[in-house]
Amino acid sequence: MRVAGVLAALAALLAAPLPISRAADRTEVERPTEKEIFPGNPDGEARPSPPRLTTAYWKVSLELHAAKSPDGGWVRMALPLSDGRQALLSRRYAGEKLDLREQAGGDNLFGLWSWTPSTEASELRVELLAQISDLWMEPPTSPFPPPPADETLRPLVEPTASVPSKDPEIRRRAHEIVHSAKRLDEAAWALYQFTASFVKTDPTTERMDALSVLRDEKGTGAGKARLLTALFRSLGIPARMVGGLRLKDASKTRSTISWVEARLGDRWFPMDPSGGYFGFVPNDYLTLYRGDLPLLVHRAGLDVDYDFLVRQVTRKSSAEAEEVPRAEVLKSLEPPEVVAEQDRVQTVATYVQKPVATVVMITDERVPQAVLDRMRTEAIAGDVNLVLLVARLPSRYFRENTLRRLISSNLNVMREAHVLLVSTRDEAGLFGLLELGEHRLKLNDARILVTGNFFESVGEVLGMILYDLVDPGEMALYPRRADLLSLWEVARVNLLRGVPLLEASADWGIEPTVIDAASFDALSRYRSTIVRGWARAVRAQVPLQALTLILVLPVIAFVVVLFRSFVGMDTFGLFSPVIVSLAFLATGLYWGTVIFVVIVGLGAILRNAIQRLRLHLVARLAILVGLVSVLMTGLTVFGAYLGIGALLQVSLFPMVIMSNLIENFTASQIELGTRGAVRLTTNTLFVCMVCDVVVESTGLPSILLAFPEVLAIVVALEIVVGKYRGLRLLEYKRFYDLLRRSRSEGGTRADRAA
Amino acid sequence: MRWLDDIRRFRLSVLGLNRRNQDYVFRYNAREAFLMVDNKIATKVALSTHGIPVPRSFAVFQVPWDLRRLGWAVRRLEDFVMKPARGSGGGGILVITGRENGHFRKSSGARLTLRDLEDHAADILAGAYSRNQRQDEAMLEYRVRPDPVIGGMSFGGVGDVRVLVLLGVPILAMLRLPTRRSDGRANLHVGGIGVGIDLSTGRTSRAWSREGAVETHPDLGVPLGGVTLPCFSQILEIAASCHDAAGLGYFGADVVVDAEHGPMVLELNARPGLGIQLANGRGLRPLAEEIERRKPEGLTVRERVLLGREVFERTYEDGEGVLRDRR
Repeated sequence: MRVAGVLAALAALLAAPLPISRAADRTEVERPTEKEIFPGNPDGEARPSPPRLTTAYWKVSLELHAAKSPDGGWVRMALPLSDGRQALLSRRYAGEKLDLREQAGGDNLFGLWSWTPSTEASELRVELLAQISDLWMEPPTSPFPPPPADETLRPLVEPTASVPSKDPEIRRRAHEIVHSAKRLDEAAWALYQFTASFVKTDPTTERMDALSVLRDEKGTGAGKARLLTALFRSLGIPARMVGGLRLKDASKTRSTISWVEARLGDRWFPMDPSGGYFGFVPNDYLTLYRGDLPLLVHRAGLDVDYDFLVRQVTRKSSAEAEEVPRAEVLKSLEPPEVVAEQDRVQTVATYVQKPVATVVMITDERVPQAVLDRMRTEAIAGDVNLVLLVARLPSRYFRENTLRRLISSNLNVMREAHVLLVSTRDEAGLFGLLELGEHRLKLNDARILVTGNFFESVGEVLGMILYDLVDPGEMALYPRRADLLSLWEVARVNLLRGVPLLEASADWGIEPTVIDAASFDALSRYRSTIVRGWARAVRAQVPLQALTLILVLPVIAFVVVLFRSFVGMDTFGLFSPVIVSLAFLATGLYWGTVIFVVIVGLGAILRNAIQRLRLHLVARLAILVGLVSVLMTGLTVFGAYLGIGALLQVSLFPMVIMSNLIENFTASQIELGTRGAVRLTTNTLFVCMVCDVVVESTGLPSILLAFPEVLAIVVALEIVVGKYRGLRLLEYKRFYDLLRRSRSEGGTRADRAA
Repeated sequence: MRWLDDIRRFRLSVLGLNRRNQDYVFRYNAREAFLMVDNKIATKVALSTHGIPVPRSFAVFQVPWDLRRLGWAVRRLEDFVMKPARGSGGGGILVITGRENGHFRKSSGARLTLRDLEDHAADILAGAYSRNQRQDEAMLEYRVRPDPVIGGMSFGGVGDVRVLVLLGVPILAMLRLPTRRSDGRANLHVGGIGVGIDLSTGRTSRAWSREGAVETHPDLGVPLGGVTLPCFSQILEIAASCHDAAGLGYFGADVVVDAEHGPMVLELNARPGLGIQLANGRGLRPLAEEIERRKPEGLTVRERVLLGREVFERTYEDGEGVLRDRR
């Protein structure tokens, strides 16, 4: 009878749209006697599950205020973490002249905020955006008593001062409560039911330990949680307290709540004796920490005041929250965030309270800490938001790709930027910026400063494509790579004091090429047609990078022709080196060589192995294609495993060409012997490497993009080389013996003449 | 600046691949002629209709269906050679030197069954050894038993005489000898030895391998210089007459000397290698230009051979790329 009543009450509890408040509704059923039996959940009757598990989005800000103190101070606060139930979508810090560090401790994350004596009253704001779901869990029906706890969980059955689980009184009581329980769920239910129903909730502010709660049969929420923890632990079941916040829309609170998690089976099973939840955590419970901990710890004698401001948000606005905080602008001391690719890609942002401008810097070099610090200090002093995107990668193709990815994933920042400052080794930054055009982003009044080592005329044409695409307010190119710091200074004085870019640059001894609408008039009709053509292609989502690779192909072919008929270096045909060079451009020289050697090496070994099968050529080639594809897939996965970005581009290696190369290798091995085949392969590899270096170091792709007519010159040169009849360079070496003879003959003739 | 002068003279005397291709190979050789010499069967047909001696063919297999005749074709043959019609670099050549109770004995001593022969022939037909891996034809051919002089200088194969012919005039010749490393093949780039031949006397001069000048055969130890080759005038005449038969203006003729049947042409090469200059220690350019200057068109075979010998013998390079009379 009573069981059914309890179940009904529980069902009502769980079905209620809002959980009942802790203090109210707790009816005192009966004074528990020592003979009271709590039979637990009867067989066959499952606990009803709640109608629907829902998810809520919350915005919580913790506002901390510390009064001025003569010798500085510190506050340590627990910060929520994502777990299976809650996800912290963002965490931002705002405050003045603060020094904040994040520390991990046990299962928890703490923020350690410290300040110096000179600081006046200090304020810190921690802004959190959390997605919290209802959690529903069935208690395990494994036998009770359970086997002893794991070694790792042993500390969670040990007694503490406030949870004296070894106390004889607690133990006796626990054993009486579970009495006849045969299964874990029965025991857990009995303990929970005892704590929830037969211990009065009395919101005294006094800190209460488990034993006094048991004796007084009343306690605070934390006290009841301690008692439940102690009861579980006294039976050898690991249990811990959880501290958190009960969230309510548009509220301001400073009290935390506590509930309990017991290790039942292999899961942490939640129970809140004060809130009346058994195996259920609602989506307005924000977990802050695990363990019997205080929310805040601060230096003695410090006057610290805090409040939680809570607001419920919709899913949509939480998704947009990515940009909202940036608009609100926080000053952040976020540690550099590692995005991917082994520390090669970084985003560092500094936000100020009331920004007058936003500066976005994009670079492909590590920025020295001193430079970074200086820029940050100046940015804060000038109320300028500073966002730094770094992509340090060896291969040009990669750098450009990563820069583009960085830009497209930070479009919101770009949109807000007043100054875009791009510094790359070559013109990769300019190419990266074209990504903005692909997204049809107009920069309106923003200033763009680009530096890198490129030809002025090439930069100009590329810059005009960019200008045509994003329509910035002002644009300056620095064709010889200028120092990042001086560019920053130029941007700063331009922003804060309105010094024109040209003038500001002159102060730093760097000379920009300014691009504006007038530059288009200065262009020949032909050139501006080209500029507009490329811009149109970009708007149609054609990556110019792919176009440049196509344009660069004839030049690579020319280099190969030079090698063959001028140097006299024999390769596996013309196409293999040309296509493989293109792949090298994508993967970089080092990894390109590795991939080439691995594929051709293993391929040749396998090709020799299948030689004895005496297959037809086509079947053989098909097998090789299969092998190469397996190798490439393997290398890609291997690269993903080790975080080698270059290997992820293996697929750019032309499979068919590689298979053909392997076949050629074996064919020439039969004809010329292994030595000859290896020589031809190394020649091919060498030519590819030279092509790669030539293209990478000269910035040829952009030259061709800006001046496609260069290809006509290449054709003309090919005609000249094709007509060349002189000796090839290596033939001097080959026929060196004849040279020696002609010398000695010349000598004997001279003697004879004498 | 003596070395600069040396290099200038050197450039005037040595023929490089670029010039060979443009000024000789593509200038004097028609496209059809290329196709013909790339096919050994077609070459043999063309040469033998001109009365030029070639090794006798026993059978030709064009499609796999033809291979059913293989057993019948070899039933009476004691020894023979199977080769691809469009083989390159000497690949795919199988030499059977005799039979032993139903098995065929390879030159290396290994024994093959008729089935093995069929497999090999099928490989040839599938294009396993042909240029560009196109489908090919296989032929059974008379096995040349080399003349003792040349045979005594060859290891594991048949040495031949490569005669370089320009406009029908033999201009340089070398003896190509197989070694252990070249695996029975006489090609210089696979490790064979090239021995220069004095055109006027038919005596070998100096020898050249991939590594440099050599005095004796590395496997056999016999001296390579100063050997008088058998029927050398006949070799030159046969090579020169190939010019008329094949319609090639610049080619290399590979001539073997059979102990029984005398010299015969094994194959023609429309892109002869340039290593012959090293074997003879002479640059080709002045010789070739002198021949072009003499306009040998219209001369008889005999006259052309005489012209070639005369130009070779009576001249030396004066270092300016001009041939001078030796006396």
